[in-house]
Amino acid sequence: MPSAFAENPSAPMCINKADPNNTQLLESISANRDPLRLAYLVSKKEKTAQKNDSNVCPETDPFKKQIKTISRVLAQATGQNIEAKAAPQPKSAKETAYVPTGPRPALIKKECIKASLQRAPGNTGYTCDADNTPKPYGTAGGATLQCVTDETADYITFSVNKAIQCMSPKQPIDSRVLYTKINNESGFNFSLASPGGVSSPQLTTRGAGEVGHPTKGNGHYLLQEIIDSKNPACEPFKNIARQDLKDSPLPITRAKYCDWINPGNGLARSLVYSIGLYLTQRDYYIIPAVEKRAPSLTKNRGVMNALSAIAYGREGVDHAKWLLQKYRVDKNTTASRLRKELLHGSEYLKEMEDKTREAACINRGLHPSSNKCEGLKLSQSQLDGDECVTK
Amino acid sequence: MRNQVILFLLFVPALSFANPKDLGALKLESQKAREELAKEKSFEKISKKLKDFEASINATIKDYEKANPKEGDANEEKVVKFSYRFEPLFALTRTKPDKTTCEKTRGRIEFEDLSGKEEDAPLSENAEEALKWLPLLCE
Repeated sequence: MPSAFAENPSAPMCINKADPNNTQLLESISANRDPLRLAYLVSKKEKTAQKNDSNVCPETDPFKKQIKTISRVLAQATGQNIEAKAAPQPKSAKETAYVPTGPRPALIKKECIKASLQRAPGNTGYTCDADNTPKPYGTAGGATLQCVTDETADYITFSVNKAIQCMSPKQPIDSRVLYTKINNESGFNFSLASPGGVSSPQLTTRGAGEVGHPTKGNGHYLLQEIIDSKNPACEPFKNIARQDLKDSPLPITRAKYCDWINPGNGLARSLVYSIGLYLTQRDYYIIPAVEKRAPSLTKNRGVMNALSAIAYGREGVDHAKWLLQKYRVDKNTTASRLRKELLHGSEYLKEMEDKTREAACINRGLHPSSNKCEGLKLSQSQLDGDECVTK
Repeated sequence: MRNQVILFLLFVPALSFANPKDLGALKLESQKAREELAKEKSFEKISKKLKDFEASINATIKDYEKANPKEGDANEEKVVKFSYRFEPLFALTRTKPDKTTCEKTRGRIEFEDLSGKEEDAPLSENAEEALKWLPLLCE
């Protein structure tokens, strides 16, 4: 089975300048066999097989093949016949072939997640035992910073992009918001947990409740949508969606940190809930607030992303809405003027831009606190995360 | 007559430059309205009182906009953020809400109030005041 130590078991190649002996996180990733992790391992194996064995005729429907393979591996791992539930057998190939509708979402580039992982976000980090008990490893920085490898970045990129693909059924999720937000909150380090929030998106009970709460949550329907989806990208997330519809993982308590931060189901759950929170905040709070004042601005991606980011961050929904009132936004307000005003009125947006710059510098081989990094000129679209998503 | 004219001339400018209501005044207005409804069972009467309060908040915000046409100030921010807690309640004034709608409304008030705050943060006084209206509308 591939692992973080596959190439050199004695010394993993840490991309984040951590002590190579700090391997608890790598070990917990390596040992995990939850559906998301298995889906990654299967996809990796398939990629390798495709490269090595060009004589074998590939399955004509890659989605169907992926469902079958993931289901088979899941069944082996859990001892259940998940295949029947996860991928009901079709009457004909036409009926089951998944056809994506609408524009496909942009995906986050691995090189950017890799750069982000090289930031030291601080905060307390945990690994999870086999029985899902959280074990603090120290701070995600300094002497206790956990080693992450190129494969860690590969796995996180796979996971985030699968969640984006799964949860973009009608309208694509703007991956740039997710990238800049998660880069700011945790540098894609999913092992962080504190009263300020858990996992890479730093979720709190209240935020996660928008998806997880059966009656109060505006995004609770998303769990059922994932279960019902024929999109193969949703397969690794169906397990947690089913679990959470039966038994809510809320509230987020210290004893239950691993439901959110373990490298399999924890990562899957935190991604689904954070994207769900982003969607509900955008659709239930931000769009109606903008529509009341300046309907045409709801079509401006930059404005909507900036407001969604403010709402999602520590300043909250109130501050995003207040800025529209403060700057007297109406139908005559231009998008460029409002962008400037939002940046002026939100500390969180400024912080996000600073952290995007930091990751951009790392990506270019520049130390974030160097003069060269400070002098690096980045356009607004680069600061919005444009260069970190596929076109 | 002459005295009346003098008084009028003194009074008009004072009126036109009167400060908009502040947060404290609006909170008192809300509390007073609730107290008057303590024993009221008629949804229409409760709803009417809440609509009047909504009109008062909206007029206050308009006053701030007139006083500061380019950019809102800190006092306005306090008033507007107070009004956000009541927005979900104002949406309930048309017909008597069912249990699910009431629970969603409570959820929305709590969610928006705690949005961006840490795990154990308490609800604000604004949210507490808005939530006191919920039983009047829902029970």
